[in-house]
Amino acid sequence: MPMTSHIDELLARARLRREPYTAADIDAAATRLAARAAVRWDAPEEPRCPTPDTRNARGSADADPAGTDPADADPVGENALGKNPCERGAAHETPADEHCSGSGQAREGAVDESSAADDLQTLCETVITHTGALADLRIFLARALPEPSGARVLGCMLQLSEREESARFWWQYAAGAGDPAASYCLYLHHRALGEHGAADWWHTQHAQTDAEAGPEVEITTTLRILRALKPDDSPVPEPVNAVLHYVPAAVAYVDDDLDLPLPDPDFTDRVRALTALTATAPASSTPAAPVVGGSAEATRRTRKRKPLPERRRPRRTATGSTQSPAPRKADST
Amino acid sequence: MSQELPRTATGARPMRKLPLDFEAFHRMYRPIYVHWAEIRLGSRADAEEAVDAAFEKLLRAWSTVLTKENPTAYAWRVLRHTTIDFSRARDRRPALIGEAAFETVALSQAVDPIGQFEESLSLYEAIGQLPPRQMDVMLLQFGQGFTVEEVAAALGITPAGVRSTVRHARRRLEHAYGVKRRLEATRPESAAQGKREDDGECDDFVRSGSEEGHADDIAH
Repeated sequence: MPMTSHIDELLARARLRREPYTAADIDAAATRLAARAAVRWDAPEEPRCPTPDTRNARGSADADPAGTDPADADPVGENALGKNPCERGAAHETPADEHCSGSGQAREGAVDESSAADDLQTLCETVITHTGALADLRIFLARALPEPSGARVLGCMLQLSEREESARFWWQYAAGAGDPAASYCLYLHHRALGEHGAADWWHTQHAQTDAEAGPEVEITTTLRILRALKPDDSPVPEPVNAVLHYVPAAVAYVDDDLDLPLPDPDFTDRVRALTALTATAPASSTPAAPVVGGSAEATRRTRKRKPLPERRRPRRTATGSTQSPAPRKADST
Repeated sequence: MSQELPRTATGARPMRKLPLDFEAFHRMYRPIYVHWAEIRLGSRADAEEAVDAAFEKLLRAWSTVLTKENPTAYAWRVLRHTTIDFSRARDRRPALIGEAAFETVALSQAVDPIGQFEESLSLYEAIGQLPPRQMDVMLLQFGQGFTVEEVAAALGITPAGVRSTVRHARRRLEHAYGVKRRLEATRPESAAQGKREDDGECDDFVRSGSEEGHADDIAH
């Protein structure tokens, strides 16, 4: 394609003259910040909003089930990412006043970016651990066309593995086939990225596809209650964990011309093998084999990826060895 | 603004030290934040001010920021929104990204400066139409020459995520240029209308432009 190289040429000539940023610049800035912080924190005339200090992002939602003002839960979220019209243009001045006076005007029904991200995490964890998830995934590629419910589960797994772009693709697939949970995932996904236009659009789609669902407040409240109920290290069933480790390595952009995050050819077989663990040995073996046994391409990608346990909620250590058991053996010899 | 230090003469108030982890975070990401904000705001001085404001917000809620699942990504959003606010306060439109065209290395070496300027102008304007994430990645990687790893670290995403974002962005740019060319080509003789297999993608591009506008509008 000649156009590709055309863009590449343009981009190559787009480099800006970069004025260096020196250590001295950073030091000066740090001094400035310390000074500003000291002045503003100590100044008695600076009113703080009553709530943010005493409520953290996760606790507050539970105390506020009506979801009257979810944005309130997070001081930075509202100051910096805020929806308050009165805050417009005031970012370089003290934001506290506008913050207080305008907090009631947050976009109605809006979930702010950070709570959307939290909600999405909870929703994905719920989707992949619900009892039918693996069955959905197994059916996923067994048919001529992938099933929407399986695509939704795959999307959630990719999201939890920090493969947002690929997750979005599969949610879009599922949502296009009328899967309401997938459109809700997309709504939260775009909201979390601050892409409000797209978020609103998917929210509308969700409302249309899932007519009997309650108002959004109920969904967000449910997610928050779920989060509160779930201990941070709530166990993930071993087969789910196994698939969770396999999926990000197995789904990849095939090449530059076909821009779809497609699973490896043997994906179905491997998922079937992994989920068969449910019946045989629920928690005994770690899911190392499939990754190692995968194509060379998959193995290479796996090494480059950061290990999954960096997710907010630490998993049990047994699964940490998935990454590359072979090198570990090499180390010990 | 409060750029001056508090005068110690007035204060028994000892200067507060920054928390160590905040200080480290600040040191690590400030340069790339400033270089990004420079493109958005058009000057180093404004960039410094906006980045100061962003870091101050982060500092004021630092303990909350640290509880975020991905503090770096969160901080980037704070920076982004603060900077956009800042440019609004100064009555600037995001479209001013096009001003970067004055600052290209290529322009300073160009045989045909006007042609080079026009080329960069239209490219930066097209980049300014991309969705936020794609715009940020393109500005940092191609405008400021940061590596994929540096961009990934600053945005709190994986290098693979950066690469795939670049791929998407490049596609959109291709289509933007493709549409422009086709318009220019079809204007004299409308015969070339036969092959339009990628119309859907063009719509996609147009839609994304309005999305970005929307996101920015709502942001504040």
